[in-house]
Amino acid sequence: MSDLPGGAISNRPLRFYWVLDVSSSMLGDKINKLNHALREALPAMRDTADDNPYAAVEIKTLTFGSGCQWVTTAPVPLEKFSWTDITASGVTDMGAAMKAMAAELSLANMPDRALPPVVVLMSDGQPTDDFEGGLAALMAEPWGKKAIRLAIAIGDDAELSNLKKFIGHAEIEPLMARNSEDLVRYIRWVSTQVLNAASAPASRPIGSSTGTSPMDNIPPPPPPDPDAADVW
Amino acid sequence: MSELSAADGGVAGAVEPEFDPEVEPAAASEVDDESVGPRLWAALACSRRGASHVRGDIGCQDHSAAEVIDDASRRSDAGLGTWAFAVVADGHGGVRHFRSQFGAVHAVEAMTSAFLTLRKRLVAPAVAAGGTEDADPLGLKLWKATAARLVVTEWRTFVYQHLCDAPPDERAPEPGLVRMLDHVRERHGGRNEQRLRSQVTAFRHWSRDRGESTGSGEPVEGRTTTPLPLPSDPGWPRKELGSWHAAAYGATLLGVLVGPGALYWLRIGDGAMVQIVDGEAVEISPVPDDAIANETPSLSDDRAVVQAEVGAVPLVDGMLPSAVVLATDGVPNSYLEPRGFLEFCEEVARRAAADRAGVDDRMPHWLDELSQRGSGDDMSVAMTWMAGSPTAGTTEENTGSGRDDSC
Repeated sequence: MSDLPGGAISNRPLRFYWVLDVSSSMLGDKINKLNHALREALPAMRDTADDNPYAAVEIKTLTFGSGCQWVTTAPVPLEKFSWTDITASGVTDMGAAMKAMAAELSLANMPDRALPPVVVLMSDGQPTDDFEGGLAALMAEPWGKKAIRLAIAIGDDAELSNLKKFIGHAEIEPLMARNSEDLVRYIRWVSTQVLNAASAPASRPIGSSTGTSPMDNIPPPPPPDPDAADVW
Repeated sequence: MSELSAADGGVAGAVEPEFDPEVEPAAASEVDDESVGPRLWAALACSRRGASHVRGDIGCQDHSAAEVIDDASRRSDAGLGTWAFAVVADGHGGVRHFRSQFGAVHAVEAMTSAFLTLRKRLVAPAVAAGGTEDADPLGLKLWKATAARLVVTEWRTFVYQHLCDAPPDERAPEPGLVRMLDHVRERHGGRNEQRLRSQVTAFRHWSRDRGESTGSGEPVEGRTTTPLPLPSDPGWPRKELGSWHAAAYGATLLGVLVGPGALYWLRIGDGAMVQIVDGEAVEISPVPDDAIANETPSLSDDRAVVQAEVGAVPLVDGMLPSAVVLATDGVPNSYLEPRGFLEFCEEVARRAAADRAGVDDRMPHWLDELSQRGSGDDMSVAMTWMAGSPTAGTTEENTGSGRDDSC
């Protein structure tokens, strides 16, 4: 029986967000491979979380097509999370997704003691709404600005400049998934190595002259597979 | 965020008093608030290596201290009355802060040194300005105007001394420097890694050539210690030496000094600073709004003096704190709700007043359990509490230096 004074104890929350383009251009092979890759990444993600027991990983998925929609209303603890296939239709309202993320990462909505959240944006196209306004709203939120933001471009038609703006780090580029093998590899990298780095972050001085960022400790991504054939 | 901010009852526009350690302080009896009367204090401090650091084979980067100072203590200055202080510091960790375990130790040393120095001065303004509108009988204005600069200067002096006594050596690099060089190569390329290596070499030669270092790891005898210059200092060859030096030691620092008539505090960074009044835990100074997502103000920042938050409040009957509890951020971050941490403070203070030995014995175990079931971070608690009042018939003696269990 513990005699530890005080209230209930828990590990620090680590929120992990998938922000997924489900516009009609994702129909067919892309959305199928995306569903497959995200489902298959879960066991490795759980193994990584088990290696970092002091972070309580929670997952939440946001899809955007014509408008945007949360798949679950609240973040789901990783151990209880299962992948539900998503379907594609509509346009690419990425700006709406940015605004939804801004609301999600508001000071009122985030636990004070949370670890920096991870937000992974995946898209195969160009925004059809006000992306700049949405991104500005996200970056106006302290948790949005301090999040680990990564992006995966699916196919050659993805608008890289916007994805780069979303990442907002001079040395981190969007990952280019030109085939299903790349997509699987990058989703696995995000689910394991990025999650691992995000689970045990060091403190960083605010506004330091050294210009630190929560993304500084993210390990380099795997290279694309040069032999993969099925180019999107 | 300013040391002179109006928000903390600061003294915006005040001229920084000239500091002269040779000035004789006033006797405590001249400045004691008669309505309050003398009090007895006890103190303890405990730092523990976090569960995640144990798993990752990383050393403890926290440090802490707590002490009671009175006429009978080893730091005796007769006539200054009874004082007590508590200090915690948290090294940042991370590749850029590869000596932050030393930064935390130096932070506690700097705060302690500043407390001991300023304690003598805090009672003196009563003599200088008594009875006028500028009167500062408890040294509140003096504290606010001088504490941050003194602490940061002391810390940079300790850091510079440590750097010169044990300059990083790229030929036989310490593990933290190896990680930083690897990180720079992976993220910024081989050219930047080479530039950092040459800066490390240049600093070693530079400090030796200036007589700041023997180059052999032995201190230079008779050296006049000065603070580590800021990178913007005209005398600092930034291009040649770089600007990594202070960041290597980056740490947060919280300190509270309780005197006969007032409570004086300083905060640079995150962590908790709580007082217990009527059995209830109340924040003395909240965590800065922008200190979220593991970002924090830092002693190593070039603007640490202005980033520091300082305050001082008179001790008034009816509002007397029975205890002050400081904790590095790993402790409150382990509680599901903020209230749970405040309950920890209240309960620890209550138990300490009733059974000091019991709290001394249990605190390391509590911190280990908190880290294991909570944040995984290093853990420090430093506290001082009222052990009694002679006028109230309590007989317990002023007790104790804090201890630092594992770090």
